[in-house]
Amino acid sequence: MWWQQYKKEILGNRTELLFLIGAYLLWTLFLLSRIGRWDEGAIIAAYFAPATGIFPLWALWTSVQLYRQEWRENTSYLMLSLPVRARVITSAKLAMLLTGAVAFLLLFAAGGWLILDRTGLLAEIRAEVFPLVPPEYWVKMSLLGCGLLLAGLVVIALVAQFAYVFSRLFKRFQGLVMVWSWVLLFWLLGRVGDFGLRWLAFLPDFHLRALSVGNGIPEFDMVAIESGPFVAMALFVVALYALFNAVLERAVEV
Amino acid sequence: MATVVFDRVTKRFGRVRALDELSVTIREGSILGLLGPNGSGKSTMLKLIAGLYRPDSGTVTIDGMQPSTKTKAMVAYLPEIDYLYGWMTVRQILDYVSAFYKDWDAARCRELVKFMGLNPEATVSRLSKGMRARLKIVVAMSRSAPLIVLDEPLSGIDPPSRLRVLQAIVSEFREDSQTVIMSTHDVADSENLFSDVLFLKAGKVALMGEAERLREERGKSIRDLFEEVYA
Amino acid sequence: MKLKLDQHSPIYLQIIDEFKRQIARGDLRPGDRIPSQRELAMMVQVNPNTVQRAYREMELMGITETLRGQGTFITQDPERLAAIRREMASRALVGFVQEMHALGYGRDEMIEMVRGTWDELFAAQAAPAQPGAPPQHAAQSQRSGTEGGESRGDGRV
Repeated sequence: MWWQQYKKEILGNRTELLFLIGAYLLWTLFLLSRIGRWDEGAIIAAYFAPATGIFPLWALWTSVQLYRQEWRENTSYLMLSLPVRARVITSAKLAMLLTGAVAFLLLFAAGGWLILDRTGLLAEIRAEVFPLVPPEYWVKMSLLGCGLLLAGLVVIALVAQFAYVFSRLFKRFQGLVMVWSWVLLFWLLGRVGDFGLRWLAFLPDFHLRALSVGNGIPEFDMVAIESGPFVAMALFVVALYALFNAVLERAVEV
Repeated sequence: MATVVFDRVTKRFGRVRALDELSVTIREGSILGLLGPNGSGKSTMLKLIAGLYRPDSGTVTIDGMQPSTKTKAMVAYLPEIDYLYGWMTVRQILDYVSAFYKDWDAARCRELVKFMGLNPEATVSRLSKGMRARLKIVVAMSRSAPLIVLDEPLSGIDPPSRLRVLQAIVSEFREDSQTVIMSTHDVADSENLFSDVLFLKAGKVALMGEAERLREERGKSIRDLFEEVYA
Repeated sequence: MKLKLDQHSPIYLQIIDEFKRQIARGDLRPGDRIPSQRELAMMVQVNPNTVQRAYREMELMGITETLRGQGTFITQDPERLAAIRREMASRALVGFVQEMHALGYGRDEMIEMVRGTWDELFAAQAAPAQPGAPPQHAAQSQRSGTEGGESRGDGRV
């Protein structure tokens, strides 16, 4: 049941996914062909910079589209008449988004590796940084970065999707409701973070080894990070997800 | 089998009352013809049963339960509009939908696809209007659902498709275990199908009764009664 | 089986009438198997409950017999069949006489006209070919012509 729903989401969005991946591959190939003609720094910037803008925009657009499409094409009649809890549908749609994001990240990393390698920068990093920093530190930090990225993605998606579905409860000014609930939710998320910082200070801190390199000598410092804001925000997101499911299951109409 | 009860149900759209304090009991094992011109509230009634609309006041119950995930498993709902994913093939649609219903009858589905002359590999958005209507009937009638809700299944389709749709409804209907509610604004083709009829007028019941009894008592066809009620 | 339903009277009565008519005309013979309830419902797109009611009434009237697991059959009881034929005939007669009366024809005039029309329709074409043929046979060959010429009717109907 869940798999069918997930498969439907993947297949239903395959055109956009394939288009995006195709466009990205072309861009990578184009940049690779510029090596030796363009400045290396410019090529690397041209590779990494657009992704930082395109990736969140894609995530935002797709998360809303996953629901908007259902209403626009009247398939909401089918979606809402299925005898499943709303979480089956919402989680399948989130999973589709994460699948796309992971695929995109993997491609991006592979392409990045290729670009760095061809520009010769990778060899430099290998020679200068790798001997100083243990590889498992790199792996750990990359995984942490990806994890945070995906978590951030889920938060953005959830807020955008909730705002869209919530706006469907109104017969007029739906666009306005959507944008405002979106702004409001992000503001609330910030407030919840503040709240966590103040009132959940008793929770144990996260400890992270931070690397700093001075005069060619690497140094690791233990950095303590307050866990309160993260816990509070995570709870907020869980509550938002529950509310989202309740709205979809009990309140929204075709 | 399922009994559907509307108890003083009102549903508003802006200032318009699509349903106005509507109270109706639909008996088990009947094929109810829900009749009325466009805008009389037929579709609204059916969407309330399917759980796609919520009443502004009053209650809708199916075997005593308000529409929920549980009742959705009992209802086979066919909306008037095209509600199936256009990019899927007929086979993909049937695979997808069947995964959600325990009462899906794969053998019956295969027979219906054949009877309807549908090509399983055809893409839904490329099907003709008549073929899309046939596919919707296959989706609704392949289940042994206690309650089958059909919103204008004959509207705007070619005569051969109408005949096939009507025949499929008759052949798959199980009078000892199913209740069918079917709306139509065109009574002529389907009136023999109904055991009961309900005439809606501006969100209220204008006339309700057993079809045969109405014919006997009034000496008129349901079609003539229809014209009388909405004259 | 073809059914023309006019929908102004209960459908189940019209179904019963159609069976009676077909029996009286010999289209259905004693012992013939008739469609199952679902088959008939599908053929004419009528509510299965309505067909069920018609079949139940026919069973009660002795028009049909249901053999478990085999289907529903036209009765073999000659008295019952004759009664159906008489009933259909008298119904047609009553309609005819009433209509003619309304048009202003008297009893004898009517009888005379019936004779004339009969000769025109049946006797004229049957007489030269088979001078000794009984009128009943002539009527039957006329019927066969309209219904595919299947041989039927052994005088019991």
